[in-house]
Amino acid sequence: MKTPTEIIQTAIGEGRKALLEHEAKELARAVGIAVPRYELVDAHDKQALFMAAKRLGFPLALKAVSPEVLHKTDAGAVALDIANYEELVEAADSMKKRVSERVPGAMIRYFLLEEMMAPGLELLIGGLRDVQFGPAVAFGLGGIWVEALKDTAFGILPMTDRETLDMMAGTKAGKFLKGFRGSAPLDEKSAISIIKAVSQLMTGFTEIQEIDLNPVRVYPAGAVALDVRVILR
Amino acid sequence: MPTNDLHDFFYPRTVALIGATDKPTKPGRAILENLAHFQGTFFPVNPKHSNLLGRRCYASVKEIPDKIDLAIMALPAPHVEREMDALRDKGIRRLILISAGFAEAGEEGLRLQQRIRETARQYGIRVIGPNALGVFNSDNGLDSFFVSRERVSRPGAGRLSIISQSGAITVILMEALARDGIGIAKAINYGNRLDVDDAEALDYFADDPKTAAVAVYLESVADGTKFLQAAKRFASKKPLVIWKAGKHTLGAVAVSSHTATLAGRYGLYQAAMRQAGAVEAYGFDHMIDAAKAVALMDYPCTGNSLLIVTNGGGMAVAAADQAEQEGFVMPRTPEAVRNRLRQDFPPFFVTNNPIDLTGSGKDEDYYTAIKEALPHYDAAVVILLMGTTTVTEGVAEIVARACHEAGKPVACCMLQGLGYTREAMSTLLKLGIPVYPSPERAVRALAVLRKTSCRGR
Repeated sequence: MKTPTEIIQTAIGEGRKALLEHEAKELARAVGIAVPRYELVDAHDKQALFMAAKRLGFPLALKAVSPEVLHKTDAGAVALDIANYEELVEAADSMKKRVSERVPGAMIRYFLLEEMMAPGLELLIGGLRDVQFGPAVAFGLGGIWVEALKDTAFGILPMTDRETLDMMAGTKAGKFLKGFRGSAPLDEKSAISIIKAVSQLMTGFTEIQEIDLNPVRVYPAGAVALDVRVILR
Repeated sequence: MPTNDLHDFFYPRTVALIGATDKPTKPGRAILENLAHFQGTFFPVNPKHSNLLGRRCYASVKEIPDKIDLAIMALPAPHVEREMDALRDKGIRRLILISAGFAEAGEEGLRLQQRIRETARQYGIRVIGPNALGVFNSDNGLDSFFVSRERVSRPGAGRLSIISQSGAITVILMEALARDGIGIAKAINYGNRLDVDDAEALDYFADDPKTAAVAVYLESVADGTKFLQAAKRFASKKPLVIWKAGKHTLGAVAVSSHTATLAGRYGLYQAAMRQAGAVEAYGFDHMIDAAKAVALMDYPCTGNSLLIVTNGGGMAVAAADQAEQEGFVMPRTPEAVRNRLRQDFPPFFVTNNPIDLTGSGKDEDYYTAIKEALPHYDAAVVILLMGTTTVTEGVAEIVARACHEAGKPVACCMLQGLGYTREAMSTLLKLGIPVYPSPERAVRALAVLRKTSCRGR
């Protein structure tokens, strides 16, 4: 496994301003953030794609990895709930076509195959660097709720445990984590340790400008970052 | 004695006013008049005059036959630069730069401001301003504001200090407090923030024995990290209320054209206020209400149980609605208290919480209700409707006495009875009980106090 410094330096060395998704996930794993099991395969190697699918097991998510594609959903670079090999081939072919239509000149280097995760509370956990306040974290409801509910609270680093809890308590996401209307409480501790891991990246690696973990799915036991974006300075 | 550099801005022994004038339209005239209230010594400076308003005027600071602790400069921007050498030669180390026409006025002004910052640093001169009102200190009458007292009255001595990025807001806040007879300790408006900034002011007030609480108006901060540290230190000692304006994109545009500094993202300011333990004021009315609350109320609000005493049922319902929104709870009065109140009160008074003395409630009934019930709660809203014939203006003193005996924070709500009410209102304010024109605002003021009392003070 590569260290965060190696991952970041590789991207900088190639003149990139953002990590590719598998790099971002590797960075997340390096600081203890759980991500779905995934495999990276050459976009032109169908055999490798099948082998990876076999190892991971269906249902699967397929994502195109390309330095030119920053917003995967807009570019049509994500296919979810792929149930079998037939659907996988179909998804890979149509994705190549779609992406080249929507992002002219985009090169799909790799496919990222990922296990599908069970539904759960979706959070946004992020990091940013502000000109006035320096490194900071963001926390709130994620996924489709980010824009509609505007539930994001910020925290200026470094933060004490008490300050982290205060930040969370001010959001709806923080209340949902405690469980509501009879539902079981969710794994708040895992959410907190992800916030701490993001804090560690933001304070420890000044090359990072922004981190977006969205969504992070939180379960009664465990929390998993489904999508990780890292923007470099 | 505080070691902060700001001390000499607030407590100079001698002051020179450069740009003193008798022309009524110039800032140098208003400041000259205001300095007449200064308990130290001040010297007008202007080469065009030998005498101003009966006071000897000097051609240059260098001619003043005394050491000068603080210079206040009210010259047009282009003249400021060449005056700096005279300050150095005279050994002046503190400068309030009133003049506008610097960074806020465009490229040229920004360059001029940067040159003056460099010069001041080289000469070891600390600067408040430019484009600023400067300082007000009720402790020694020092007042560098170019706003005449005929137009805008000044508050007397009090416990609250004000830090404001906007000169207009400084003056308006001070006047609003003065109108209610509420005094302040000190005020500072640093305008373009060439040198002295928000964080340094907070640091100074944290150690200032005359300051018991601070209200801050911010559009942006000079240095977020430094500000957060200073705010944390301040709020760990004294109540801190912050109004951050320029929250949204549209407002933020107004900010950058106004003070020539970029407003940071509001979410981060909210984080800074929360992490510091400051209370956020959401706008102008809330700021004034909160300022009144922390300026007057000496007792911390250590819990969230609220008592309401009223002589009008509807107003109590409105207060209770707001109380729930602000996170207060309103437990029933304890059995023993109810029994005692029933002995004293006619049967149609309501002895639950809210305690409703109805339109028949008399002055002494308020005393009885507060004295018996308030010890069992963390705070109270007392609603006084002066339209009934059974209460007199004497109720103010009685209510204040009961509140102080209980040693708990109380906010009053009065809004009926015209001149008669005003009399009672000013008595309450004089006796340290804040009065608000609506039940909601009274509850919100207590919520401010509750939030400032949370942090282990």
